Amino acid sequence: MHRHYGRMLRALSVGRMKSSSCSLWQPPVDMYESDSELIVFVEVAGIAPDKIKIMAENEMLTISGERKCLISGVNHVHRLEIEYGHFACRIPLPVSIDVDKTKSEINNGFLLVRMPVVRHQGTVEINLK
Amino acid sequence: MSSEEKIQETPGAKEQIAADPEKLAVPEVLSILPLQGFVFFPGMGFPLQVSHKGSKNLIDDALVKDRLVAMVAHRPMKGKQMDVVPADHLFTIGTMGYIHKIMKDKEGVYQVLVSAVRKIRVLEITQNTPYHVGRVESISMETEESQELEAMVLNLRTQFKKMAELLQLPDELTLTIMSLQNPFHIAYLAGSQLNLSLEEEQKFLEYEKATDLLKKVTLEVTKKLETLEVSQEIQKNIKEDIDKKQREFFLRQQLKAIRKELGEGDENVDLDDLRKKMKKAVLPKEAKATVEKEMGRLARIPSSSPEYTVSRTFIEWILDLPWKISTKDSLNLVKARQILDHDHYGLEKIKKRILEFLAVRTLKADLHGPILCFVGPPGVGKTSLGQSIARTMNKNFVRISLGGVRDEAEIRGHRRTYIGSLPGRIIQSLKKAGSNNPLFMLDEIDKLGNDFRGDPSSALLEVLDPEQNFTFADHYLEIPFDLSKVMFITTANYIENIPGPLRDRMEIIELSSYTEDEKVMIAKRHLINKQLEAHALTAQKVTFRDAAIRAVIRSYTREAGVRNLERNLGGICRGIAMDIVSGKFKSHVVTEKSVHKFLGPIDFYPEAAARNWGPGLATGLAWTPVGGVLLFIEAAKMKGKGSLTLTGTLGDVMKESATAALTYIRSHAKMLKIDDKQFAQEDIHVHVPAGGTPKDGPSAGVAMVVALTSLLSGKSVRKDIAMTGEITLRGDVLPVGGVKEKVLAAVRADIKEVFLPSRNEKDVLDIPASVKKGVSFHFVQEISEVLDKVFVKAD
Ligand SMILES: Nc1ncnc2c1ncn2[C@@H]1O[C@H](COP(=O)(O)OP(=O)(O)OP(=O)(O)O)[C@@H](O)[C@H]1O
Ligand SMILES: [Mg+2]
Repeated sequence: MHRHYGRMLRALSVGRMKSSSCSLWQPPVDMYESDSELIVFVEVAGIAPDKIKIMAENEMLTISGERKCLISGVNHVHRLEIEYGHFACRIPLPVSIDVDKTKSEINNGFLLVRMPVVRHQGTVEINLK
Repeated sequence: MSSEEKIQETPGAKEQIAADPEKLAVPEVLSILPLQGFVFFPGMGFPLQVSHKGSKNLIDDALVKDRLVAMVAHRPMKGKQMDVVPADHLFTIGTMGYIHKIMKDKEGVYQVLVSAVRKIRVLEITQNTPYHVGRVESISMETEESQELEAMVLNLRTQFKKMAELLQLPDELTLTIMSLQNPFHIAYLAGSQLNLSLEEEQKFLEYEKATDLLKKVTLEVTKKLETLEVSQEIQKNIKEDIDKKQREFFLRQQLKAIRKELGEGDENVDLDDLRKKMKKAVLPKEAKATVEKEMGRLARIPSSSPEYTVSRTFIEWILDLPWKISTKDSLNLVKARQILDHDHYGLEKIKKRILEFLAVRTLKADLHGPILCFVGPPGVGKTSLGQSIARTMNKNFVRISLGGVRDEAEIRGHRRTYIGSLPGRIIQSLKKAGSNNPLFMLDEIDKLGNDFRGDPSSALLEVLDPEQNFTFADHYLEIPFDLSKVMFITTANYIENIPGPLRDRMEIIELSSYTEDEKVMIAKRHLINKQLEAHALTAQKVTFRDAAIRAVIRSYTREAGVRNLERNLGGICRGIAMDIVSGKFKSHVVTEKSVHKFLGPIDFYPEAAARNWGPGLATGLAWTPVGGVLLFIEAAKMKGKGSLTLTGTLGDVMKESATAALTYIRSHAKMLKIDDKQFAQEDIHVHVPAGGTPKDGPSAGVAMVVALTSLLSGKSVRKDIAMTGEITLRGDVLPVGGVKEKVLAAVRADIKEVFLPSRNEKDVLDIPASVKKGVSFHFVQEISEVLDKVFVKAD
């Protein structure tokens, strides 16, 4: 292991520093926006659906869960790319959503979250009683 | 931290793999992965490249167990390329890493993505091959929330942000520092960006208290920030400087263009002149190179800047010096003799020595003979002899007076770093001389000062020493000038005052006072003619009677030389010239009477004659650098207890000689017929006028005895006799110096008899008979011989 490699790699890996909002690993996330919806895909293969928690707030989506490694009785690991264990990620949302109308489902190893977008147009009338 | 509370102790390895790595407990035993050259701080995760066989074994074994490894940095292994890191090279504090991912490439290198989840201490190494295994314990990274801690975190964040901006670190880094919660993590991330040595990073890891760690890291960040700010400032200044220079250059170009438009031409006329002058000048190589270099510099300096003048003056100095200009020496001894005779009356011995000196010098032209030094009283012709010698040799003549020169820089110049600095007097005079082989007269070498400003005599030594003076270095010129062709002659009034090392290099020629007859001859042959000429008179119109000249000498001058005589003769000539111009008369014969008319009241009377004579007075003779003088000893007595008071600014030797005189008289009171009761009842006071002039020396001893004897015996001393000599307590009279000068003083004062020590008889024989005419000499061995003859005969 070369000295400079060690430092260099350390320097390049700032992003992996565990911040309070994230766990040691996070599953990959995609996010899309249409006229009416914000759509989020989370890759959750191998995670039992009952272990997944989703919480939508007005500007934040929090997903947590745990992927368990199912293998046992091996004597050599040749490759290891899938991450295991507890995860949690807080995904900031670029637009306001209607929390109440959020829907989610798991399909082919993806978690799909659909959130209707709330758009404010013109002035909002406030009625005083 | 809240997560720490929920640590689950999972017994089986298989089950642990599945567990959340964050919540993993630290097992008792871990295999140790050595890290070379960096610290894996807790909270960080990044890939490691593992190629060492033992380490790969370690990873493989960990992967099938709990995926946990201890990561411990090790100290550098000096030079040796060892396969296994010796256990004693490992630090004891490290981290526990959890392996997330692994990839093995074709070459067999493992890329292992690890994150450091806990801080651990290695308690003991239990196994060394194929990799180290050790007992470990967890080190807590918990912190207690406090305002201090919060403030420190905030401070570190702000400082880090500033630093990151200056260093242009990725924004992501700053964002991470801002979002991290654990103070340890914040400090570790910040600390890892400072590029510190392994030891310093390891120290960060080893702090147990968050506050200590934060303090240390903040300090390092601040240090870095300061150096960055300073270097930024420097860079800014450099840039400003360059901008200014460019601006100046630009303006100068514009100015040039404007000048051209105005028809003033862009080439400096001044510079052209200098260049022409330089072409003409004959310079030695070194001087030439210096001038050329300086010319190049000058062309770049604007002519309005003071630096220009400095540079220009320097060039002119070099161009003006007679580096290679010599006059042709000629020496014809017959002609030389004629010139010397023509310029100076008498001085037979001196002229002979000068001619000898010149003859030797011409014979061995390249051999540096000694330097002539004329020593004698003022106005005896030292300077004018020098001028004559220059004439005999066809040399240019320059002269500087060293009187009061205290500063070495006056001889050797100031460095050019001084504003308005100039070369020293030597180089200045050479420019004046216009040749590199003039006769250079250094006047008053005995009046050279010497104090804190440096020693001018050592600089002079360099000037006069033929071993050194061919490369005389003036501070201003910096290029050596060859003084070896210069003929130096020095003058002094007082030989004792010439600094020893200088005196050793010189051949002393002593000039003594002139006698009255000599003065008359000098006046008749030289001074009068000179003065007539100066006042546009001729010898046809004005004649001086001898008696008139003597009257001037006796009544208007008292000097060893002829300077005042010359001045007074000049005064008479001026008076006559006025009278002739105003038409009073056409020609004039100067007589004793007209002398008084032109010169006014008499300045000097014969000294002894003027005194209120009586018992207690005696006339001594003294030698001074300006010739001999009469020295009156006054003694007085008054009621008292026999004490002796001495006044008149007397030196120690003179005081002692007064005491010795009194002792002699007391011990010989009977023989001298003196009432010895007086010694107990009277105080005695001896005074030597003039009170303000310091006097010293033993030669007044005889006169002291005579004055005191006269006082105590009530007998007056004869007015027309004078005496000199040292005495002993037993009454012996010892020889003294300066006899010729003293005798001349006595003659001038109309003294008829002079008492001298018998051992000075030979000195008197040297004095021309014409001078001694009218004076009789008594040479004595004992004081009693004096006392027998000096008193006025009681009748
Ligand atoms: N023997 C002499 N014959 C003709 N002129 C003389 C003679 N001695 C002195 N002088 C003249 O007396 C004047 C004074 O002499 P000079 O200036 O040489 O004195 P100096 O010895 O250099 O005195 P100082 O010690 O004060 O410098 C000069 O004009 C000089 O020509
Ligand atoms: Mg002189």
